[in-house]
Formats: sequence, C-alpha cells, structure tokens
Amino acid sequence: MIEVKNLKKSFGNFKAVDDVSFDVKAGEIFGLLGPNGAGKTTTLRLLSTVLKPDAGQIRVNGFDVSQEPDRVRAQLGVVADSNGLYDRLTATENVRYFARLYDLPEANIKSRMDELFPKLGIDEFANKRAGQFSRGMKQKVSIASALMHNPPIMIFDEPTNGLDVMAARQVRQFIKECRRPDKCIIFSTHIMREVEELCDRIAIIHKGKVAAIGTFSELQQQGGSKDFEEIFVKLIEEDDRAL
Amino acid sequence: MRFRHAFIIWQKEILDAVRDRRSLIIAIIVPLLVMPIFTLGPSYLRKLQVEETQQSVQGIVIQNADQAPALVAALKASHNLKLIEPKSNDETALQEGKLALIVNVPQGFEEKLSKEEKTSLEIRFNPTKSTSQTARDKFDAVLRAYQKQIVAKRLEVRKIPVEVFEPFSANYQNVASREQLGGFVLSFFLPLFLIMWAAIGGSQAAIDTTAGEKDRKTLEMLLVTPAGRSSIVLGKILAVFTVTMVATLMIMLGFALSFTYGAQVFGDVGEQLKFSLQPIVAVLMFLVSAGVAAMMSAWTFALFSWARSLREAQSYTTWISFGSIVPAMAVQFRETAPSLVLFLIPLLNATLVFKELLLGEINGLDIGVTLASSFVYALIGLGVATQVFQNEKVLFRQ
Repeated sequence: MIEVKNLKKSFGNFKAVDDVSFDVKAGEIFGLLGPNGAGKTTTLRLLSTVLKPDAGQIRVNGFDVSQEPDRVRAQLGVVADSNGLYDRLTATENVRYFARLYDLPEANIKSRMDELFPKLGIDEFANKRAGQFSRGMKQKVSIASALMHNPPIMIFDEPTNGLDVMAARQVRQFIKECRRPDKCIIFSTHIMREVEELCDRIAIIHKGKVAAIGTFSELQQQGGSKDFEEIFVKLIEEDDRAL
Repeated sequence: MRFRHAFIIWQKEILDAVRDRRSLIIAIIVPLLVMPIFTLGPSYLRKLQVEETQQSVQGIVIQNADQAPALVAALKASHNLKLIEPKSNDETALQEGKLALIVNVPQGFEEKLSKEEKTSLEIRFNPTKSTSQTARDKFDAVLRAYQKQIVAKRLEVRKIPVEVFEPFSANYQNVASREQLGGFVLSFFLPLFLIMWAAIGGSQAAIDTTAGEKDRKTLEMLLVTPAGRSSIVLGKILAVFTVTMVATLMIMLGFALSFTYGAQVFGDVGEQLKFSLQPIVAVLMFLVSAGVAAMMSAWTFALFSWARSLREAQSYTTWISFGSIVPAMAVQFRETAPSLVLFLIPLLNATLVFKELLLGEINGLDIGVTLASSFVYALIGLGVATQVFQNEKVLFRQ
C-alpha cells in the first residue's frame, strides 16, 4: 500500500532523510524505530505531503505524493505526538471540523463518532472545551479527528509520547484494534517494547538512513540476540562504523 | 482550490474568534467606544471645565483698596471674585495657590484717574496655578469694563461720540452648513479610526489563525487534510476579513451612537456635534473600508504566518497600527485637491476618499480607483499569503 524509494530530504546542509526505501503491505503494522532526531518524523511528513521530497518517490495506495497530494492525503489518517487541539472548541467540535475537511458526509459524522468515542473513552468529555484537557485526553481526541474518515492508511508518529502508563496502554490497545486485512499502519517510536508488542515488520532508522529492516525474527538473526534492545544497539553501532 | 473546504475553515475560525475574549475586545468593544470617547469626550471635559471656572469663586487681595473704591465696587458687583483682607503671609499663599491674585493699588490711584494723569496697577499672579490664571482672566474682564467706563466719561466731557473710536463693526457670517461643519470635525477622527481598525481590527483573529495554529501544534493536523493550502489560506483570510468588517461596522455604529444620542446624554455638547451622514456617503465609506479591510486582512495574514510564535506575531501589531495611521495623519492637514496618482497608494487613497466624502464631495473616479487598487492589492496579498503557506521553512521554523 505504501512504496518509498530512495527518499531524500535535507534542511540546509543537514541530511534529515538520506536514501530511505521501504514498503508497507496491506494488513501490516510497520514500525519505524529510531532515536530522537533519526529522521522518522521527517519521513512521515514527506509521506503525508506536509513536506516535499528533494529526491525519490513515494506512492500511497497507488497515488504519487508529488503528483496527487490531495488524493494522497485523503488516503491517510495521521496522528502525531505533537498534535494539538483548538482550545476554545469542544472535543466534538474539534473532531467534526476535521471530519468535514476529510469530506465525510454530515450523516456519517455522528455514526462514526458513536463508534469511535466509546472506544477511545471520549464520551465523558465530548462536550467540554479542549483547553481543559489533559495530554491523554487531547491525544484521544486527536486520534479520533485523524481517523474519522476511516482511512485505509494510518500513521501514528510517537503517539504515546508524554502519556501516562494507562493512557499509553489505551492508545496501544486502540492501534491493535485498528488492524484490518485491507489497511496498513505505520507506527513510529523510540520505545523498543512498543515495537515488540505491535509491529509485524520494523525499519530501524538512524541518521536519516535505514540501518536495518525486517520482521522481528529477521532482525534477531541479523543482530545475533533475542533481546530487542541489544539488537537495536548493535545494529546502530554497526551502522555508525559503516558511515 | 475547493471552496467547500475554505467555507468549513471560515466557519470554524469565526466560531473560534467569537469565543476568544481578546478578539471580541479588539473587534467589538474598543471600536464601539473609540468614536464616542474621541468625539464627545474632549468636548464634554471642556464643557465641565468651563462650567467649573464660571461657577467657582477665586479669592484675591487688594492692597490699598481705599485708593480705588470704584474699582472695588466693580469687582464686588461681578460676584465671581472674592475680596480678601490683606495678611502678612499673602505672598506665600499666592505661591501655594491658596490665593489667586494680589493687586497693589498705588497711592492716589483714583485721584490720578480723575485728573486724567497716568497711573498703573501692579497685579501679582501665579501662572502655575489654574485658579490664579482663571482669576486673572476674570479680573481682566472687570478692568476692561472699568477702563471703558472711564474712557466713555472722558469722551462725554469733551463731547466726542464713542463712534470716533469704533468707526465700524465686523459681522462674520458662517457659510458652512451644519453637515459641513460636522463633516469637518469628523474628517479628523473617522478616517483615522476606520483605517486603523481596518488594519488591526482582525489582528487577534489573524494571529490566532496563523502563529496561534503553530503554537497550539494544530497546523500539521490541518495540513494533512485534503484541504489544499490555497483553500486553507482563503478560508482563514475570509475569517480575518469578516472580523475586520465587524470592527469597521462597530466604528461606524459608535459614530452613529455618538452623533444620534450624544445630545440626549451630554446635552449641549452632543447638540453641537449633532450630524447625520447621507446614506449614500455611509454606504460608500463602508465599501471603501471593505476594500482596505480585504487588503489588510490578506497582508497581515501573510505577515503573521511568517512569525515563529504568538509573541513575535503580537510584536508586529504595534508596527502595523503605527504604519496605518501615518497616511491618515498626513492627509489631515492637506487642503489642496490631491492628484489621481495618490489614489493608487494603499491606505492613503482610502483616507483621502473618506475626507472627500465627509466634506460632501462624491468623486466617482477617486472612489473607483481606490476600490480597484485595494482589490488588486488584496489579490496580491492573497497570492503572497498562499506562497508563505507553501513555504515549509516558514511553516516549520519554530
């Protein structure tokens, strides 16, 4: 569903994404794992058309991000850790606003809210203004906003950042429930345990490059260990030596 | 561009602005009050001061009062100055403002007057005290009347008619109509505030929808929706324009209230300024304001989009409000007919048209050029704002 080929993006002299390639298949949860500043968010911003690539190609559900950015965006639901809400709007108003921008018909907005709000536990604060929300509440509303149009491709960029244990657990549980045979999920994080728990395949991103890619067992073989943290550190060190 | 997306964004921004207290203060409360305060306020304060001066009585000391009984009688008859017996600490009291004047009458003052010999009075006053200034004016009025009386007597003795010294009188006739007079007074205030609020009336909404969106971290969520950048920019600029037009309407409403109800609330002061705009003039002023508001909404939006943070954007508003009043101030003292080229200069053109309209002149060409140029500048501003919103370095330069 997603094909990324030789993707490059620099900010001045800094190469944020340097020749990154991967693909994501339907039914898959694909993990992007890397330390802070590795290039995960820039890759996802390129994928969601917020940034334009310097070189390379990205196809999302058959649409090229450079040629048909509007169509690409309609295929995506993007949840970023930095997502905020409009403080003077209620949770419902925030969600409805984005649903309308995703061209969801008015009739479907309510039924979709009825489906998503109980799952995310938004019901109890649905009519309160977002200015009073905790970070966990905000993240739940931002997930609902991003997924109201039931997109085939979901992108979660460090969605548990800054959340307490219970809220993070709820978000991970929700992502698991989003898995469908005809949909794919990209999940970016720097937390090993989340990758182990959720992802079918993983790309380890380091200094803008893909240091390793494969299923969990393939990476275990490549790293020569069963402990994922050890595998991660070893692969990154190997990559550093190669650079 | 999809207008449906622009409309959805406009709706949301308006709802957000309505719930934003700062936006309401800048767009509704302040513009509603500014015209009554600046038109009726100074006149009302002046009236209060005049009344206070007329009603209050200041204490003065006449040294050697027995040498000028006629003058003392004239002062007593005027009833607005109180004669106090001289004391040793009069000088200190004058310095402190407790005493308004000290008048020193020379020996044989009235005797010299009767002999038509030259003589003089010494009047000590303190210009740093308002009571002393007021007493001086009142004392002067009594002195002038007294002098006139003496001169009239002297002329009578010589059988010379008073007309010898006043061969004719000048009778000035005011040819300006009440509307023209009102328009002249208004042409100092209304253009200034209309331009200023067209520039900053929607600033809070513009800041909130640009730098505020970056600060809240909602911008990226918006950018990943199918709404294209041009739809986003159009929807947001239309929202800023709407808020700005509300501010402009409030300025005009404040003006209407001051001139319609001023007489009821402030009596004479409001009556002096009682003035009504011709409906066509009001409509034309509103149209020209709309042109300025459209242009300023687009350009301020582009400028605020450039800002890294709310604080940086807020710092721009000082310069915008200062920049917007410069042309309005420049036009205030211009009497000669402006050339058509001046109507191509943004803000200056609208100020010139406002002044023309308020002085009763409806010049179609000047208005047309002003409206057309404001529209073109607004379109250029929209283009610049869209470019700024396409620029990833600007959008993510926090």
